[in-house]
Amino acid sequence: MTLKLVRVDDRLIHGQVVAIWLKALGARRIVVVDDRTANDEFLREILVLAAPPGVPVEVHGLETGTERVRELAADPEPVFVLMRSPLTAVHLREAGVEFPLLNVGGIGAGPGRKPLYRNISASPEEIAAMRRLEEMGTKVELRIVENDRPVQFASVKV
Amino acid sequence: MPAFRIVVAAHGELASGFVTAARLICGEMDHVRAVGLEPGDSPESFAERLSEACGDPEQPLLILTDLVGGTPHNVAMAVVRRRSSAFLVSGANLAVLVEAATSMDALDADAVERLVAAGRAALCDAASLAASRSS
Repeated sequence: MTLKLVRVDDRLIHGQVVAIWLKALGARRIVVVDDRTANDEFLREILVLAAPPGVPVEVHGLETGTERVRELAADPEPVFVLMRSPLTAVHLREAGVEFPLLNVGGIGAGPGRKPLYRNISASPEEIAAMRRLEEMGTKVELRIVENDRPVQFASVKV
Repeated sequence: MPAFRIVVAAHGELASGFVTAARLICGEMDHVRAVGLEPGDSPESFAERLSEACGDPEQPLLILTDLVGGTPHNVAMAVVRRRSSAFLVSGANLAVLVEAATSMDALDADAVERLVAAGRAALCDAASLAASRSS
């Protein structure tokens, strides 16, 4: 298991947040699984520029990303996996990619979205996805930056 | 007034602060825009606002950013790369903005080099400045 962390953040790579996580985890590669970014050359470029220097960033759509993460999970290189939504995490998990923990670090508010904790909101589909992950044995924690205390999704009233 | 648009892209209120400060010196500047990176911004959401502020992709454009490697700068690089006549100066100071905002030159590589020189000249140890004046 060298998926160091699987994280949901709708801002994907931003500011120092990812840099600090990478350092704490000792991860040396970022894999982003996101159809929108994979299909948009401009978004891909700004995402790659946002990563700390020297850290390779791969951007994949949902299907190729699932296969790539499966491959990397069996590789000794420590990897940091990023996605915008817990729905992507469920897709990975249902495709047989195993990871013991999903870190949810940021999902913005919006119409039809319920605030869960600090800057984390979720739609009913996303809440169902997080429940499904817990059922499949993947713990879901809410934790924005590395040195925050993690809050268990299971302990949050939704 | 210069024949090019200037966009200041920086962290937080520094962008609008630069423009407010330059206005004290230069007066109204219709051709200058500020885009600040706000808490909660992603590179993507910042890119949307920056692209909008940059306007017509056919028109000459100068972007000034505060810090190499910061999100405003990274996003500005991607924007500049996609335009035919756009230049980017990073680590800009108020001297660069005032120089650019009052420039009558056409925007080209030479003009940008002069702006960078103006910015460098404005960054100095004041002690050496005082020494050179008294000698």
